[in-house]
Amino acid sequence: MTPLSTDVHAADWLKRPAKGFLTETELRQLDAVFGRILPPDHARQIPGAVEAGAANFVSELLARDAAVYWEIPNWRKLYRDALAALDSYAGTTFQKPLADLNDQQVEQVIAGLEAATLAGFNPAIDQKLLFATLRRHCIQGCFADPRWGGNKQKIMWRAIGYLQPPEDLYHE
Amino acid sequence: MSEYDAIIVGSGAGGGTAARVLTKRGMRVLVFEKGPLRHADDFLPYDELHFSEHAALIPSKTNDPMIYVDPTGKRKAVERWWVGNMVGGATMLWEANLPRYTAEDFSLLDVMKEPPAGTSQVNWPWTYDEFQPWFEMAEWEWGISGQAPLPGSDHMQEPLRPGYQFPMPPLRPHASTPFLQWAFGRAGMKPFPSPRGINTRTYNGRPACPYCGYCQGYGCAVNDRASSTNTVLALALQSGLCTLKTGHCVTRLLHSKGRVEGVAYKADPAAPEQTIKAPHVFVSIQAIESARMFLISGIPDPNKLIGRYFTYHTKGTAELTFKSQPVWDDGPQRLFQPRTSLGSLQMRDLYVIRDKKRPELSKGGKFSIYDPFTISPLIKGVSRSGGAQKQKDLWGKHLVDRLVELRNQGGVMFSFTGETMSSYDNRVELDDQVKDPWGLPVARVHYKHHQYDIDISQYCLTRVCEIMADSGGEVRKFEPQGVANEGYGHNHGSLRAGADPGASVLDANCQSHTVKGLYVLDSAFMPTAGASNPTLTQIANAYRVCHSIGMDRR
Repeated sequence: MTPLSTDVHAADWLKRPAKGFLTETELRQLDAVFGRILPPDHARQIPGAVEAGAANFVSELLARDAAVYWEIPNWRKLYRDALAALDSYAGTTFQKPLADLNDQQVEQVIAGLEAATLAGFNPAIDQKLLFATLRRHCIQGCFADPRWGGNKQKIMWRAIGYLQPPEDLYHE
Repeated sequence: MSEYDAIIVGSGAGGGTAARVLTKRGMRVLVFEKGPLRHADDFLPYDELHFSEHAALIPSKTNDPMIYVDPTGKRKAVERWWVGNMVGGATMLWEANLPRYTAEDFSLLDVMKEPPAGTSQVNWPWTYDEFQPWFEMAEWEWGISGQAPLPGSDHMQEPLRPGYQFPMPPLRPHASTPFLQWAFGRAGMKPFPSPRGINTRTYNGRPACPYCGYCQGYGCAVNDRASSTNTVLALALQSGLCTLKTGHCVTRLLHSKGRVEGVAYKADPAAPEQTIKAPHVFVSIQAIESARMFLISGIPDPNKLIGRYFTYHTKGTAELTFKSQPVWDDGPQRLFQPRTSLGSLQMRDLYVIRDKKRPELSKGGKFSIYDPFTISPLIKGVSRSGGAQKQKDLWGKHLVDRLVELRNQGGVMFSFTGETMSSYDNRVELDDQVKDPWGLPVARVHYKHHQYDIDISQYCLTRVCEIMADSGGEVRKFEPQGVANEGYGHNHGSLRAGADPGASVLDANCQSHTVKGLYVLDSAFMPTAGASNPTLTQIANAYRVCHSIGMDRR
């Protein structure tokens, strides 16, 4: 009988990068956006994306190579360009950096991306694709296994009752 | 003289079954599989991001896509989530939802007296009764858990032989089951536990399912879920008559003067093409790929039928939440209820539609019923859900509201598998621009759903949503079939079987009309799509064909 060939992967995807891809400034910018994609609601026992560390999830994901997932190199460029473009849009529209916008202003920016109606936004970036990518990564950063750098201390799993009963995280 | 009696292309549902039956009959077989052998522990640790979101186990869209041409003529490279290039093929990644096709699928025209204009709906050249013994063989060799309807019951389930029972009892019911059976019972409908290729007790040396929740799209790390690899192919290999070549891709089917001669293959994408001979060749690589293989190999096609009448199932999804129902729980002591959707229900009460207000609708379809919260790990469930005020792409307050509902309230999700109109224009062709890693042109699929598909999906989803609303359900997602379909797990019909060589590619034994000795055992043979998960019927057909080789059955 012919021996069976195997391709045992050395589970490269399990190795966490030593350092994230995003700068401190970019992490604060991304926190501003993610904080409104999944805002906290402690009265109803729902943590927000900032608490979950979703921006750090993205930073660690982008520090991995294309063998982990083919889109990672594209995302590196997308995040670098998009966060700069969003920051520039915030400066022009609200005369403030992205990281300093208030909740309503950030929500206005996200809604604009979703509808692809941000005027004067970097035309090289597809606004709808950017919205979909940010939303997807925010949810991944909240609900993926903590080994990927988000969902800190399984906070979202504990809140929503995944693998265990929901916990009372914010009791008065 | 060839070293082998038969060459089998593909090691999945059809190929593995062929290897099992032919070796049982004493034949020497060579199985080609272009992917690797994967073991249960290759699927650990469980990880939704890696295996599902990052699509780690399916062909990459970047170098091995399929081209979809939408109804407006626009091309797009799409990811083939329904393909598993590994030993066992897609049976390594399926949910193993394995109902039989019913008499209404085999003899569609008995139900659909007047098919819509412009479609090609036909009766299959076999009856349900003829398939009955092959279904039973499939259910026992693959290991199906399920519950036969009680004698005398009018259950719209598969009509089983009186006294027949599945080899294992059904999966433990999901906690929503009593409520859903009550709610549908009020409307005269009877959801039933699904027949699944998942062990509920130790069977054939494999353990019972621990309800981990990592099922469709994931490899089974426990080996309780049946695959070709751990059932039929294992038996074939144990016979000593089966040789399995992994990492070997068949590049062409060899034939001359209307007779198959063997195959050409490569042992590596960069390796030279080699050939090997055998008097019988069985192809089972899923309907799109087998049509592509026929086209690449220049199988004579005097009536231009190869790749035609290709069907994806009509689908549709609806999700509801119930204010009156606390989130489906594990029971007061959290001891006995599965935490996952696996113990889910099926419903066939809308398989045949008889509604005076909608006389144009006749054949409907089947529902798989899930819990939207536990159908999979959380990323998929959360990201695809809809809300009370926003239908999809939830974020901000809408997303928080939905998370609170998912945590606090019971919910239900319906996945529709419906009858599908066959059309000559829905087809598989060879693409003239993109090649796969082995240097072969990729498949290009042109697909447009008929208005009937769209109407039947809308109608059936609306019916179940109305019934659920009567029991307090609020709709959170309502997505009936649209006109475009860029790819779906159930694919069939591209090499239709039939008695008339002028109207079919394969004969009633799934042998090519133009190349003798060449058989197709994936779902490409299906003359129409049917309206249930197709693989058990495909497997039963493989048992039927492989037991009949050398006999003139029809």
